[in-house]
Amino acid sequence: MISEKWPDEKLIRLFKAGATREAAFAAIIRKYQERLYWHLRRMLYIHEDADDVLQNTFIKVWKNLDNFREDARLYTWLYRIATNEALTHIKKEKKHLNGSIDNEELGLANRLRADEYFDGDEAAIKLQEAIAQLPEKQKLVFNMRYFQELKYDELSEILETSVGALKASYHHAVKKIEQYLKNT
Amino acid sequence: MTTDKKKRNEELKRTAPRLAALLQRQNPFRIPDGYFEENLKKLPLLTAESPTPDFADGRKPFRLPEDYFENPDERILSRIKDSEESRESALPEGYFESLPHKIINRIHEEEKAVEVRKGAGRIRMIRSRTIRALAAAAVLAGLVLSYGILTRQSSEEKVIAGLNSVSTAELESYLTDQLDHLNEEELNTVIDPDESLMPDYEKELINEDELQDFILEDMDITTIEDIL
Repeated sequence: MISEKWPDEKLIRLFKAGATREAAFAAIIRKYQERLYWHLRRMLYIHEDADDVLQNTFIKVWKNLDNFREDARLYTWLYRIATNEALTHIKKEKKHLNGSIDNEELGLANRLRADEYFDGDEAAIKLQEAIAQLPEKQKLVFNMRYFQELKYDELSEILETSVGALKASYHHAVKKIEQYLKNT
Repeated sequence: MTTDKKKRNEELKRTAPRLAALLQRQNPFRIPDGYFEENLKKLPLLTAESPTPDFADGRKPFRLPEDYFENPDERILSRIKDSEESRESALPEGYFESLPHKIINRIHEEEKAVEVRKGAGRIRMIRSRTIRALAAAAVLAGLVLSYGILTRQSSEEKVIAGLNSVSTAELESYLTDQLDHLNEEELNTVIDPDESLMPDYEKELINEDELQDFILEDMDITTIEDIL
């Protein structure tokens, strides 16, 4: 049985081999699905949305892993696909709702209160609103740095931004969130 | 908690205490029970998007009909025939009957459109912003140039008129005054000291012998005696 504990290079080789394609793919899913799910959940807030986008992400991985050149790390590649899929989803939602799903007055708060998989109190909702009001890139940097505990060089690979710019982004994000919490 | 996260939390407590306090609390997002295990069961649905060349146990998923490679010509020809028939039947009913009428109508419409274009007003509003801006700039440049030429001409005329109004006496007096201020050096820049302004009369003077010859040439003896 192919284990998710095996190194990424071996899993990729087994995937490309053909005979072990599905088994290797299953191992990749087991290895990364939780991290990717929480990354998506922090961006999209609602479980159903995160679930949809996670499925789309793995479909894309299945279709494109043959072409993965291994000049980047597998998990940064997976994160990049997941991030792009989430951003696409957000754009679609914005068009559909004809407004921002993040900064619409009380929109996010109402959605969180209505979500059966959100157990936070008003303070937790306020924190989510504070993060949601950040520009998209700052939100990504903050979530991935703080909650996903990704290193700056990993973030740099995923977001294709310099380490310096990412550090500045994180710093600004923290200040803006703190300011929002102070003012509300 | 990793060392890195500890450091980040400590820094947050210093720079953003409210945020740090909220982040310490439990994750408010929950997931359905068994969600991640269920995901793996969905794997065949995910991989159905793109077919696999082989099953995991090595079986090939593709099968061929019996006698597939026998009599390929017949199969191909019958397929061509089928596609031609289906192409014919894909035409709408009465297509060829109505076609001339459609073509004539279209010709009339196009002719009308040409007439409208011809009869359109000669004055066409320039809608392009760029063209309007360029035209305005050209007019402005012309105006500025004209003004410059006119003012130059008028200033030259003024100078000439001014000079004409000055009398000769005033001019002489002015020049004399200026000469007093001129030193030899300045004068020498104008006049070559080796060259005199005055003509060299000495060179042109006739000597006594020449004069005598001239006088005696046309005079007879009686005239000379009268003088003496």
